[in-house]
Amino acid sequence: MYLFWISIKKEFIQLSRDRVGLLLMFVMPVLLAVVMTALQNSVYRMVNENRINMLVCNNDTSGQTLTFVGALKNSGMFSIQVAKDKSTAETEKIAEENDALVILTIPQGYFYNLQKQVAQRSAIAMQGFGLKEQDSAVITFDSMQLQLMFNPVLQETYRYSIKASVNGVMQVMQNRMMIDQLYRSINGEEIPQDVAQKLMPDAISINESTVHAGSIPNPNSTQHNIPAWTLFAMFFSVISLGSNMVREKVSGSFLRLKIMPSSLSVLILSKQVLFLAVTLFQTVLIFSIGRWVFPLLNLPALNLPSSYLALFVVSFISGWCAISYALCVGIIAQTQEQANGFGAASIIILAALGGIFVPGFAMPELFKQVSYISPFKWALDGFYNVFLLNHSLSKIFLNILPLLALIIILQIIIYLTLKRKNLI
Amino acid sequence: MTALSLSQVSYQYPDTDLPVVKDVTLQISSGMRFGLFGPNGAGKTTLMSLMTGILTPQKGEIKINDITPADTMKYRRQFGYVPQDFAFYPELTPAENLEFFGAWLGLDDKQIKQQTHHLLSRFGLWDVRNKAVSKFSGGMKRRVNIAIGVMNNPSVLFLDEPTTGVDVQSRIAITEFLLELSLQGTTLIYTSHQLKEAEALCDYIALIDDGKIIACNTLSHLLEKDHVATLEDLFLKLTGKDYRD
Repeated sequence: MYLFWISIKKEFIQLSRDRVGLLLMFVMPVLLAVVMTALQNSVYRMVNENRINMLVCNNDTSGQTLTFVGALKNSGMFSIQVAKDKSTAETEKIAEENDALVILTIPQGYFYNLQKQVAQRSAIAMQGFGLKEQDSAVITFDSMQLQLMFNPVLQETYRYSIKASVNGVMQVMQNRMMIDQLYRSINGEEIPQDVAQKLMPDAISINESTVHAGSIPNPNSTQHNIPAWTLFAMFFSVISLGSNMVREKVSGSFLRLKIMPSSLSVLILSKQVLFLAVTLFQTVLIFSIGRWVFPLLNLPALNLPSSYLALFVVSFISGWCAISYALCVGIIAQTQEQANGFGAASIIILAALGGIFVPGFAMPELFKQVSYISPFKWALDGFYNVFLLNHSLSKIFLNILPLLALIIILQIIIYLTLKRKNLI
Repeated sequence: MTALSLSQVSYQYPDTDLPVVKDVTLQISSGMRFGLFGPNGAGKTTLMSLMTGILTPQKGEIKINDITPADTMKYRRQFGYVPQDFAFYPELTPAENLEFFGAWLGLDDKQIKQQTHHLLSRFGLWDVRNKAVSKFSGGMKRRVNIAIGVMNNPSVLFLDEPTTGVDVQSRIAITEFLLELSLQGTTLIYTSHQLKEAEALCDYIALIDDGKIIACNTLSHLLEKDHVATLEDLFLKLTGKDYRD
């Protein structure tokens, strides 16, 4: 036991004096988590909350604009700010300040114009029904249109959805105006409210459900980025641990230890224990930042899961997998350059495939399938299950199973390589 | 009493045609200062690796104090090893290095503290015991390397070029220390290309070439037998002047 603690102490001292390693394992992932969450926050909100920031630039003085804006709000798709009688430059400035992705401009006299069009159509309808004599006068109207300006980040599908929503609201308003007008023309008085309600068709209700009951809902930016960059930090220990292993081999200290009356497995175990503790510390640090620092930066706070045991197990197994990988790279690599180069490149590729940089739900179908080869994907799904579905330990078993299998494979490779190199 | 014995030891690396060490037999008595010399590629390092248990011979038997490498941990407790490389942790201080390697040599906390104090003082490193070894000069690093090798007061000490790249002061200090150890009964197995230094240190010499021991006796006997004045002359006479690497 004494030897084990002395070995852990030695690993700890080495790590504490490895400034670059510490920067890569702690500072870099924290910065990445903060920066990426901040950058992706508006996109995630758009995807998940379906509320798009819209600036309504209202140049119309009619009271119907209020009904129109109210109906847009009630559609549930938009978060609306209204600006009155502003120039184009002023409107764009307000839009930028409010992160508006769409600017809807209502031209001056738009609803008055619309009302006149409705009245004309109503007259045509009345003539068609034989309730009014043919009117030879041809009324022409100025062509007035609502104008939508989209932020370039908005994808085509979003633009279609927004146009469809605005059209839908306008259709309802036009229908209501038409019914009002017809009633007024026939009865010579305003339509009573209860009659109008009865005449207006009910909104068609659609029953929604998820195709795959067990699938994971989309995370928000914090729920994605915090576990994602924690995993990245864990696996990036390959730089510190991998180089540490190579240095020991190249300097001859590994060989020196081999011929001492103690087992080298103690050294390998002490490395794993210390670096596993480091990965758990990384988890606590980055998760704490997500929980308590993010709200101060106007970012969504990390909601804690109901099962802390499940969270610990996913973190522990992910960390162990990362350490096993780093150790494996360190043992196979002949030089520090090999360990650092291959280690860093492989981690970045696996992270990209596993959905660390771009989350799985936003990936093309092919890459969604390819992502299953990355341990980042298995671990990230484990965290998603814990955070988004509040799964207990028994339910995340399927996520940690491939990680456990990989750990076993890596540990066997470590053992066989040490044996082949005559180091144990 | 025999400290180290090799009997008909042969070793061939995998994927090679010929053995590197061929039927080597040696008897090295306790307290002897034994020098093993030979040109590059002669088989010195392989023989040293066989004696320290890094490699296992395909043929023959090696014993230290009558213990074979099969009794792994007991065998390893018999000797100390000072490699040519700085085989320690430069980020650590000399005291931390000695503490770590001391524990690996099976010493307890008290023994480690005593030996650390004794060796660092003996090698003039006590005042810099808390400074990272990476900041040390080559000579200081050599002294740390040797201190680690003798932490467990071994009965046999293997030294692979222990004074390479050091200044005269460090070399003298190291040689004096090794002679002191020998007087206390430690058997030294020494290999180097510094033949003048070897003359001063070793009392028994073996020359190895092409995996075979070609000469083995006291230095004076070998010089007298081959009618040469120095170990270097003997070396050149027996191994020739052609490049070997």
